[in-house]
Amino acid sequence: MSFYNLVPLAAFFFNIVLIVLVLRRRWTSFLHRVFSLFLLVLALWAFGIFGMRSSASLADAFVWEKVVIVIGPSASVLFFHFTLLLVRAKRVKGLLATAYAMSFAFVPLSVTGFVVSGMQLKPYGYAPILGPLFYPWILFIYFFLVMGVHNLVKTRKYLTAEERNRCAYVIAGAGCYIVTGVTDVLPVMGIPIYPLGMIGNIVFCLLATIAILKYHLLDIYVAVRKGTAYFVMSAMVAIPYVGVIFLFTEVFGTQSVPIWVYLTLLIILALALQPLWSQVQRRVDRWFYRERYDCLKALENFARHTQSLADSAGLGSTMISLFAGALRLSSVYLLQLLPLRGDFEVISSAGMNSTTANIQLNGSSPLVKWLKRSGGLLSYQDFDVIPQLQSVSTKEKEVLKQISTELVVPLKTRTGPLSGLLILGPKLSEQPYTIEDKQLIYALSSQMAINLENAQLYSASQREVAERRRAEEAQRKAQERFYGIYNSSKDAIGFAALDGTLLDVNNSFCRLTGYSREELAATIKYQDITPKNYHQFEAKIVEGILGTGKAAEYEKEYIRKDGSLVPISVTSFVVRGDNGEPIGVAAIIKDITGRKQAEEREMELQQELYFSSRLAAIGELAAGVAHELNNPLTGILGFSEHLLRQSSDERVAKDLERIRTEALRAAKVVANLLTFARRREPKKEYADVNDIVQGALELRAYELKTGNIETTLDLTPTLPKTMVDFHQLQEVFLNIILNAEQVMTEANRKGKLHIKTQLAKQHIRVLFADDGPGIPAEDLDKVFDPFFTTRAERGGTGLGLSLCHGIIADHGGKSYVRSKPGKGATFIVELPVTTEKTSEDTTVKRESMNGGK
Amino acid sequence: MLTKDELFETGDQERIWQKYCGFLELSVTEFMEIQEQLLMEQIGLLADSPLGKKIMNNQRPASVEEFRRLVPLSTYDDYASHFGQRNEDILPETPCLWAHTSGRAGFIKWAPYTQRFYERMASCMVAGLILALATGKGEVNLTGRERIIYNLPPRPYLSGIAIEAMAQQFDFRFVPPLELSEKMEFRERIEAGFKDALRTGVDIFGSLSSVLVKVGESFTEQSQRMRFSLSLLYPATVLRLARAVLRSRLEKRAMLPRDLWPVKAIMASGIDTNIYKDKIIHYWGKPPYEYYVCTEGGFISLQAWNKKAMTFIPYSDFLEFIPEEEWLKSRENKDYLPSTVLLNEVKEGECYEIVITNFYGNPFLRYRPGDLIKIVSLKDEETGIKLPQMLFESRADDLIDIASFTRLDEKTVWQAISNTGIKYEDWTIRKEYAENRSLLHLYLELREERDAQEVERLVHDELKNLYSDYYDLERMLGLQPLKVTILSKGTFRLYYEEKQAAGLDLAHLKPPHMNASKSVIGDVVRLSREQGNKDL
Repeated sequence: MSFYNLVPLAAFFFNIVLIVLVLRRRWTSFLHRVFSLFLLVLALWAFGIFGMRSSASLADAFVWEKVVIVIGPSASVLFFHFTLLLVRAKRVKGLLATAYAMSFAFVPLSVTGFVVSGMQLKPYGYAPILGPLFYPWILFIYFFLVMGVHNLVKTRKYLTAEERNRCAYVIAGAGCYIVTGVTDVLPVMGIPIYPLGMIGNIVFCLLATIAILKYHLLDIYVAVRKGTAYFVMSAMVAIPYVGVIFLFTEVFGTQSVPIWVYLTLLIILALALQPLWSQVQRRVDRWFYRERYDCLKALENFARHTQSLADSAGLGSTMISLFAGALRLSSVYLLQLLPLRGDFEVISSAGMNSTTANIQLNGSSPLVKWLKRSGGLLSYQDFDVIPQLQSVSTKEKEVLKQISTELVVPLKTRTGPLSGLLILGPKLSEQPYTIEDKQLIYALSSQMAINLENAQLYSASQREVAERRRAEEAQRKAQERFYGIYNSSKDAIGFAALDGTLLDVNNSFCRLTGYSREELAATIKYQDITPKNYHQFEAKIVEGILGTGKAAEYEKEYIRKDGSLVPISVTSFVVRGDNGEPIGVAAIIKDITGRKQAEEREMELQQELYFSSRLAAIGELAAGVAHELNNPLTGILGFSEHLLRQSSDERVAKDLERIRTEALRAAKVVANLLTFARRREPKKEYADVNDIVQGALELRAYELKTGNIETTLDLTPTLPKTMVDFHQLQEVFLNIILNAEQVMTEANRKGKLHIKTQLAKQHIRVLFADDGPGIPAEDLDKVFDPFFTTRAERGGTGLGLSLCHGIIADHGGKSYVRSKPGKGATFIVELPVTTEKTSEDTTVKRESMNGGK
Repeated sequence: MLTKDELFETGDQERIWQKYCGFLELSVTEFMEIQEQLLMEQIGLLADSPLGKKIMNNQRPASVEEFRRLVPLSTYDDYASHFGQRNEDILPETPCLWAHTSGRAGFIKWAPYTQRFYERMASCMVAGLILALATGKGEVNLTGRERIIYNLPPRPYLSGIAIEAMAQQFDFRFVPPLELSEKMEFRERIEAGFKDALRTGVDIFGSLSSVLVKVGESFTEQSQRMRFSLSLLYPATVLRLARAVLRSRLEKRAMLPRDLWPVKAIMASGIDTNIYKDKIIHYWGKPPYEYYVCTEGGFISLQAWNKKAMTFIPYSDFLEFIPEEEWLKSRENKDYLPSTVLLNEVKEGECYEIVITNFYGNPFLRYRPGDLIKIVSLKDEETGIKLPQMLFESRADDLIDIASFTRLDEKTVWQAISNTGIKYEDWTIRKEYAENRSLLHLYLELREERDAQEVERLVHDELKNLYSDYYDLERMLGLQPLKVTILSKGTFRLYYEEKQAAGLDLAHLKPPHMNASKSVIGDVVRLSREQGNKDL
């Protein structure tokens, strides 16, 4: 089968395959259906041509030609219909229906032979003999073909870039078809040319199918340019080739050049022109694909500039400059996320028309949200179309409009967050963005997002390293400060494991306990240096701390290394590990020895004050009572003695005597009361306490001896003298000795009295220890109280010891008693060792404390 | 002035659908995000204006929650003193127009429209037209060159404003032309529209549902005795008539309007639309397309292409809903502050009073238009819409309480009357007190002879069928509250003419269906008497 016959058959099969492809893609679409119908008609046309060309006789060829004549107008009208649908053009009412009607009108005409009257044989094969209606027929076909193309051209301005591209395919195909169709007609008119109509058919179908199926697959303009470029290059190579061949034949006069000459020449040319080829190709590339060339250069620059992460500050600026240059954009703005506010702000701009306006987009704006979700490019027109974006605020829209926004591009890696935005203005060429532009923008922006993210990560890691260093330095300093404070703290601080093992202690702790840090740490438990009576109590406290997590404050004692006890106040709290679990107990320990002593002294002072005030009150009372009683007692005594003197009756005299005796006893009580009440201020002078003790003892020596009281003296000879009222102190000692004497005599009719003096720190201590019955525990606190007596029935007034206590207090000393029932009692008098001056100070101080009483 | 949308020039159906009807594909979360965004912008616009300060008590809420907490609910009374005089000084921006609507007591409510609010209203109207013409998702059949008959109130009523907006954007052919129809009286316009449409044909009806049914009924009656007229001698009219006759003959029935005017869509207004749905399909061949719109809030919801329940529009107003229980409390105690819920909190099957806050600088804030809606479902399986679906329930003021537990609304009464099959002209119902009991007094003008007691029984039975609480009135309390008075023929027409002569506004030319005032009923009764009903 010849090429002439094969081409229409190929066109037929080609059309059938395309019909299947188109319908498979979207068979429900009316556009696809009409287009498929158009392809079917073209297939039939091709089959008709095949039938005609392969006919054995002119008569057979004429029959097939009539089929072609019938089909032709329908194909043309279907193409017109297809273009209307493709561009959604407004229809002229009734035109389409008329066109279809007219195309059907050619059916009977074709049979009559008015269009083609017969067939003739031409060098290439059969050709029709034109009938009178052939020209209306061909005009009809061309009219609707041209109208179809007109539809496509007319509506191009309303179409998007993609749609324009799509139309360009169809226009190119139709143009090809129109041109090649002419070559089918010209031979019939006597012009010798090979009929290329069927090839045009194939080309047209192919282009139209690409347009309808994959219109965004390839930019038609690129294809055209590329074809042109290669044509130019081929021509440049062909000229020397043809020239050489021409010269060869002319010079050597050879009629037919041997094939080896062609081949040799071709190889030589290929090698010789190789550098020129490359040069030409580069120039043509640069000339024809200016934008592509710039893009490629831009990508190269992009890769080179963005390799250096160290230049992160200028990265954004460099990148958008490259962006603007590569795509020839009037303006590009790079917006970056402000981490604290979450908004996007312009950090750099590029392009001829870019402004320095402060552009900000709210992080919660629908625009930003949409870009985060979709990750795709957004054109400004989409703001009014995409439902989620119809709530973009007027303010933001205005801002974007002011900077002539055409595209908003999210800078987002596949998995990362939205790190920035690119706002692109119009292209300098004022052409819309093509699919290819958008693909390039998408690719560049993805690369940019990665680079920016890397740069940000790099900066972040740099910051992190710097921050870590700062943190470490700060931690080191803090640690130093801590240990400085820790060890210089007056308070002892210790840290113990949960079992009580001391893990770390500060210097004060060591001072407090007398152990070295080495002795304590990790070898001693805090329980080991705590008296046993505190163990249970403290264990409960620690349990509570661990349970509640709250600090606890309590008091206890430590056993020093020397065995002495030191009272302490402990504030304990839990120390937790990284996982939040308790790992030990820390404690701040205060030595409260001073505080305890102060408390004791305070208590004593309070007692003393209480006692003094009570004494004062009782003194006043006693003075009053004594004063009131003295007069009647004087009367009773006087009259009882007078009556006694006059009485002769023995019985009466006995009663009167009794009255007088009791009155005398009462008078004595009153005298004691007065003594108690009228206590005078001590007249102090330097005296030796040992002498006073001995003096007092001598005064009672006889009575003691007769009462079987054995007296022993243990006087410290080196006792310093001190400021005391000799007589008052002697009265005190006498009183104590007398009390002991009476108690021992009444209890055992005998006894031992041991008197001892000693120097304790700054005090002179005098102890009077008897082996009498002792004082019951409940009476120990009361023995110095006024009017407390256990011997009321035996004439005790309860004022003696009270008086003694007052005198000792007046001397700045203290008196107390220790006793256990059955084991005697020891009365202790402590007197301060004072000089004359300090004694006076003490007196003044005491007066003021007594409130002038 | 609005401009043509270039999208219609390109014919890109996908983008047109996305722009106008894309809200039907939103999720509830997206819907709420849009609402919040627009509300915050609205607060910013209004906060510094004198009116905004007044309504918002000089506060500037920083969130939706704060807005709902700080800004009190409002009614028209809060705006009346300013809007009555159309005072623009207190508004945040100068309005591009003022729309008005009728108030119950005969006064007119004015509402300013900012340019953006007006544009949004127009955009919603386009969405409505697209959906009315569509039979499936993504289908944009609106060419912009459709022939439209509209017999709704003219400007400055919202319906007139919306039509004008459409005229600005598209090349619609109005039958009769807008410039003529706006000058015509309402009935005249209806007549002229159908007359001209005999020649021109019609693609879209914009009409009150009741008007369509009445026209359908009269047409069917008159088609039996159609006479030749010279006005029919237009070729287009002859062709149209011939086609209609042929169709009706082929189907062996009387000629119906749909034979003469095979319309593409019917944009129906009025709460009776659902009641008349079947009749409209019967007469006009297409289901009516419903939308919920109010002068103060613009378009609030639209039906989808399946023309069933309505979907809320996120762009016009911030929407809040007072649950029925709260609404009842506030109805009984005017000082009670009812709580509201948002669209993402509404429950299926519940009734709510709607509360709107305009967007785009329009002034109504937390405004109660007085409408009750019902959430029929939380999504629509049929269309794949993921937003709550609603139906208009009634005017909040138009409910009649009987025995505290029965609340009759206009739709129910209307449906009951319609279900009886009685041919009637119009009706009005009112709660009255007589013989020491509450009466539900229905004043009905019939188009056929019927006994009042028979009508009473029929309507009572239908009410029992339709409304279980009404049924319980009789079953539980032994009450039959309905009383029917048959009005003389022509009463409602006379009333219309009398009020028109008195210069009343279009909205007050008819007695309201529900709870008309004593004086209105007095007029109706008087006119009926004058027409010869001496029983009244």
